[in-house]
Amino acid sequence: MDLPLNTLSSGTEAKITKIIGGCGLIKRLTEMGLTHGTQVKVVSEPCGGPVLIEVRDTRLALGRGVAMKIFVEE
Amino acid sequence: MGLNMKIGRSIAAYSLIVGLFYLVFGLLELVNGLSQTFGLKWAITAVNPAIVSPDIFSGVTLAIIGLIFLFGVRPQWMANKDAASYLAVGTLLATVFFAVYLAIMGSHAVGWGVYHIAPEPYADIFADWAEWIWLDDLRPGIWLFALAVPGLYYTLKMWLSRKKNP
Amino acid sequence: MKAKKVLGDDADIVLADARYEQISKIIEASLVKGERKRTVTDVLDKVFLNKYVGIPAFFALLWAVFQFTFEASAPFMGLIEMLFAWLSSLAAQIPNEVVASLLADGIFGGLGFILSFTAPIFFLFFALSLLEDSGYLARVAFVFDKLMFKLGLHGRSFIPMLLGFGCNLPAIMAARSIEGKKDRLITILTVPFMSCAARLPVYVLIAGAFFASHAATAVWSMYVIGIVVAILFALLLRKTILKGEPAPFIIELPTYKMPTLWGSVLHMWERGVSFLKKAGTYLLVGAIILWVLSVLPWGVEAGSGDSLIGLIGQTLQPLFGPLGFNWQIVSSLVFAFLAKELVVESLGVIYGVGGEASIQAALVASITPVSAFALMVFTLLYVPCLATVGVIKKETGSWKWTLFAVLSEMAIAYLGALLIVGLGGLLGFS
Repeated sequence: MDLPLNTLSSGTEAKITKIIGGCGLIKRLTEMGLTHGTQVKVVSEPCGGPVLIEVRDTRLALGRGVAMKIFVEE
Repeated sequence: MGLNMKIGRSIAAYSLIVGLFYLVFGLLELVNGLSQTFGLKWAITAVNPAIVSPDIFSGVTLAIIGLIFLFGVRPQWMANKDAASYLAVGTLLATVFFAVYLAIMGSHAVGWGVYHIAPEPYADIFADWAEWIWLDDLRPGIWLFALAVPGLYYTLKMWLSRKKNP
Repeated sequence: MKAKKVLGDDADIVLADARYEQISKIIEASLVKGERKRTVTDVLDKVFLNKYVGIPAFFALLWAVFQFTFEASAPFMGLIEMLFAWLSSLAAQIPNEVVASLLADGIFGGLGFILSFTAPIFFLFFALSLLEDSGYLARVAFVFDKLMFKLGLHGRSFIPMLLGFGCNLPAIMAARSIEGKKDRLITILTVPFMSCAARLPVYVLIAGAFFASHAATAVWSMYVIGIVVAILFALLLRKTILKGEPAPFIIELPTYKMPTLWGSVLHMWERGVSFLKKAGTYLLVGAIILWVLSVLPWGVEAGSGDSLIGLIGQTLQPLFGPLGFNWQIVSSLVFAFLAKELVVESLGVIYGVGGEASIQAALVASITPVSAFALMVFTLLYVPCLATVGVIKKETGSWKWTLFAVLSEMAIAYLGALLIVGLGGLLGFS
């Protein structure tokens, strides 16, 4: 089941399956290390704001608009 | 991080006391500040302004620090994983304000010193501090910090032990 | 190039994928992961990024920064003022009258007043360096992203806007960290509406003269009007010439670190010196030009109606007639193009009186309270200072946008003041 990243609750670990978006967004995410198959952990509570995730021991903040375009599988 | 139930409860009791003190004195400072700034006739100065300086925003901030301590009481009582967070941030903020108010006191002391040694036409620039004494700047943010010291000690000890055996 | 042929258009992405895959293989093979413990960052972020407590905790730290910047720096401002007063008194003894006047009044007098603001600015930079080096500042963008998104901006624009309340110069420079070109432009163009510290003395003078017991409210309302105008202008720009969605908001939140004193001092020094260089150059040139305008033709009373600055004021006055400003005020507004706080000083020079009380008396005698409020609004909204214009040019790299910034601010200031006069008239104030 693929879900957008912003719907996950705090503490969930998931794997990125799909990113929908323009070239610019995908390139930017790739630079930050968010590629297909990357294991991420959601740290923030869902509250309509940005989403905080943990990837490879670094913390990234993603705007809601970005998080909605990243699909993950638990 | 599993917190021992007994330790958790004593930390909760401690946070409750510190939080209430910060909250109450913050609100007093706020009320004093409001009645001074707006010259409200109905508002009596809540506490001697020499003890609780009238200052709206400083009052609000002290109250916020108090609330952060109080927010921690429940997770600490349950000894859950968030217990350390509120204590750490509360003591951190308390320390920051302690340092800032001390810096202000020190800098006003400089103004007072210069007023008394500067030659005649220039001393006027420092006239604001001519009558300054250190008690003027002994804000609640300074002496309330004494209450936060055990919390700071506990937080630092926890972090240092974590650094040693990660 | 060959890779591109084989892999198709997404060569970069395929390469990055492969690279990260390789990295994780190596890590898996070489690193034995223990059970992950909660780090200091985990502990602190729980509160600093909390949806209820995060924003109050930020405002608490902000108040600490403001207290430190303005309260603790005051005696040091006095020291700088003293230095320039001393230099000015030395320069006044130079036998050549023209040189003495240029140095004493033009340079040391004008510049000294403004350079005394170096003290709070360095204090501000130091406090911000501490926050930045500790890793907290990046969190502020996170906490405010939701709010800023509604304004058509994103979290990163928050810090420049906030810095604007201290001084617009570092605020516009801070907009550098914003990625999207449009987002950056909108931020740069709206920052000048944030009421910087230099405008405060003007408000205090006017409000004290006209609004007596409501002075504090009148001053406070300036800050609110500034924020409202900034929001409306940002929305307008987003809907018209800078259309589009805000760039995707992605930032890395560093782990918290104990900031070191030396590191923060160095950081403060770098920023402070680059600020001083910029501000210093523009201010020096501006101070000389304005001194020339106020003493020419040589022999007239400095700043009087016969001097060039007086003539400029009288020429432009009809334009400001609807606002109820007389030529003295128009002249001082021209003066204040250099730096806002000069409104006070130049009013003193032009009215030929010294001391705050006598300037206030002269103002009360010449304009109505409604015009006085319009003057406060005009001071709030028009081009903050010459140095800001210079920084806008440098940061946008385009004269077109710089000109747009100056003209739009002038127009908004004029319309805003006109609106105040109109509303005042409607409500029956005269």
